[in-house]
Amino acid sequence: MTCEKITYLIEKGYLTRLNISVKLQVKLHTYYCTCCTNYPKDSIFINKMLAQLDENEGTLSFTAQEKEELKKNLIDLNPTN
Amino acid sequence: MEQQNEINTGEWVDLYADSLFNYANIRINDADLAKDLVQDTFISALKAIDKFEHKSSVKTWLYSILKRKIIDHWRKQESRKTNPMSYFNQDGVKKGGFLDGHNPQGKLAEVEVEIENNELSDALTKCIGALPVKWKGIVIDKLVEEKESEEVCNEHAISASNLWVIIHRAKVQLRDCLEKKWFEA
Repeated sequence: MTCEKITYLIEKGYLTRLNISVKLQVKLHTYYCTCCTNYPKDSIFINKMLAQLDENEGTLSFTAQEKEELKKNLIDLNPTN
Repeated sequence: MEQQNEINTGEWVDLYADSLFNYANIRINDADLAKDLVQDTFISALKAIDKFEHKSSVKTWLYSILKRKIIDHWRKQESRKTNPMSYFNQDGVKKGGFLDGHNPQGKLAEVEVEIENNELSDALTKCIGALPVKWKGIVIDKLVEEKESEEVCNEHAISASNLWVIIHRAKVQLRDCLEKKWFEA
């Protein structure tokens, strides 16, 4: 099996259950392949980072001035005022 | 006394503008456009205020409006699609092996990550931005919002095996992109 196929199976394994013979094939391949030994380390790291993206309470914010302008524009449009 | 149906848009801005801004930027990787979309979200919300039934919170409602705007933006981008590159040899004796210069070196996993490593998050956001449009929504729904696979497949009208293929190709690209941005920048 090629690295393309093995990395596909590694990713698939994070999404669904792999059967035992497929797991074994992945394991055998990683015995002699450095790329595919390294790949899941990076991949799990990226999954963790992706899952945290929305949780990082904001690296970006509107400036105080932008917020005031935004508020002013919205007041003019507000039908309940 | 404040009337029940009186809308305090100043409070919307104070409470939600920044978190909506970040949410949009992660998904479209363009801070100016993200700001515009947040402003549009508030305006759309005001216009549709009679349809808001207080069944969900204002926050949930605003996010759902913003999300629709983001999807519209992705759709507009879709016309500019390019074919994603492969990171594997397409033929020869090394067929299916990683292309030279794209071998996973396992270095990313060794980066010291505090919970909030903003620089790394920014790099990842840029890499998500470079994904083909078709994959982007799928990657965000599955791996950022961590929805069930079945739900993602239904929403995007794809099969489970389509999902596995897309996630694999997207992850290979993200891994390569992040490694290059982090170690070669």
